[in-house]
Amino acid sequence: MRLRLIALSIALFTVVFIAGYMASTAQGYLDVSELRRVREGNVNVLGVIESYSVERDALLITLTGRDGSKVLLVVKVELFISAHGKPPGPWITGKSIGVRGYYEAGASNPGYLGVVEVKEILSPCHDSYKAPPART
Amino acid sequence: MLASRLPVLIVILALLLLVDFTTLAYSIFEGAFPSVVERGAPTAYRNLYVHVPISIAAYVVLTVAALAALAFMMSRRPGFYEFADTAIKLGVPLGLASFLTGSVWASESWGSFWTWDPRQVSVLILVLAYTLYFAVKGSVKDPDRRPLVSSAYIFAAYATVPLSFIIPRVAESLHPTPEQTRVFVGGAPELFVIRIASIAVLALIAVVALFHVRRYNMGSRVVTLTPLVLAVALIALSGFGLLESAGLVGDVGRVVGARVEDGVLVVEVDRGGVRINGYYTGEPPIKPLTVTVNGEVRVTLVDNIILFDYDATRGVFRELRVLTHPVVYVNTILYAILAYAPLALIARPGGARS
Repeated sequence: MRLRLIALSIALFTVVFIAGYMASTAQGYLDVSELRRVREGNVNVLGVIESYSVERDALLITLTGRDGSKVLLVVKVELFISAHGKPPGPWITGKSIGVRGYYEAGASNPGYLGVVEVKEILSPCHDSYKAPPART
Repeated sequence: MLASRLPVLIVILALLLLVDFTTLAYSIFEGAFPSVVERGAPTAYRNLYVHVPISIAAYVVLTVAALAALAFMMSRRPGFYEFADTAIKLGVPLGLASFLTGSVWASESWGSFWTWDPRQVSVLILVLAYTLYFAVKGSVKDPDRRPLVSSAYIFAAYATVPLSFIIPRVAESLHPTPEQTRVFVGGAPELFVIRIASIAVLALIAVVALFHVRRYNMGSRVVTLTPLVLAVALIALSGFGLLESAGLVGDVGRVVGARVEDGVLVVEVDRGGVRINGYYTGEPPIKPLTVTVNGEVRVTLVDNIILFDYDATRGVFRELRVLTHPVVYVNTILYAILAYAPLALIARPGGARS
């Protein structure tokens, strides 16, 4: 009886772990390189800003992944300013960002996996910890 | 013999509460933070002293609960089950505090309260799984079977603890891994380590003390009053900080640009959409004032929330003071409510047994 109960709880533990993992990563983030698996749809993407340009009210960002894959982000300048409090400039190059938006794979831009129409800009905080400490 | 240890445990608990309160109060106003951050105010990273310790305390308490549940299933000694049950009563509010303080911090430093980040989702699953424990326990009417079913559930729900711990390592995440956080902590370790140790040890001693209180059905006035008084003090301190950062004490704005020209600080502040430019020649409001990151010299005042006194006729800031970002105060209030108040509730006469 004791062993049966322990075995049952270990089995439940395993089920909870697997179900929890699947639920936690179902809406998770993709590295740019992982967009190869996606044709079209809403995605969350992480990458590093390689370059940018501004065309009227649109900010075009080249986001690179771990293996150097590129995706073009189309961001409304207004959205960018509301997220960062200031207009885009050279300071954004080299920054890690996460975006949520609609992805469409396509070869209209050679060298790019596709285009993401950005709905929300998020920022991972990994690099923040590399800065030296400050005090007030 | 166990009952005779209770007064000692309660004194230790009260002392640990004082240590935790003092270090937390100091941290939110004076704690070191990363000088340049990816997004938002750098002082929002004072949440390191609120969110990280309470999350580790939750992990520690829930681990103890799982071990006690396993010990009960193996030995059938009722004390183990009572211990696990007591730990869950403290672990659930701590887990909820971890989730809420993380989300409040994310609203400033990630850009959104809810981001579908795998760590954030996994901690929500943890909170839901353990909250469901009370329903599972209550649904078993047979008093002989209740400890068995509850212990099996506690052990199964524990799967959410290692899951949430490892997920930033195995899935793409906005959340840093402990190794990434340690890079910063390597530059300012003492306070951070003390904060983690104080709440983790406090939580463990609290579980032991509350277990004793429950075992002997002894309500303890010290355990009831000390956390309540300290929770009220933390809320009052944070409330003052919130009033200050809301601009009710003086002019408040966010620094959107700063540079050092011939040793003089030139600052651009955004106050409710209005830009204010001026010089500042006083004592630097932040130390160091400049840092070099990736070969680029950056003024550390940028993106911080400041309280200022501006002389518009001369274009000079007479006073500049960096304020802690409001999300830290909000999280300190959550900490007071979810880490301190449950101690008082469980320790009141009859509270532990319910």
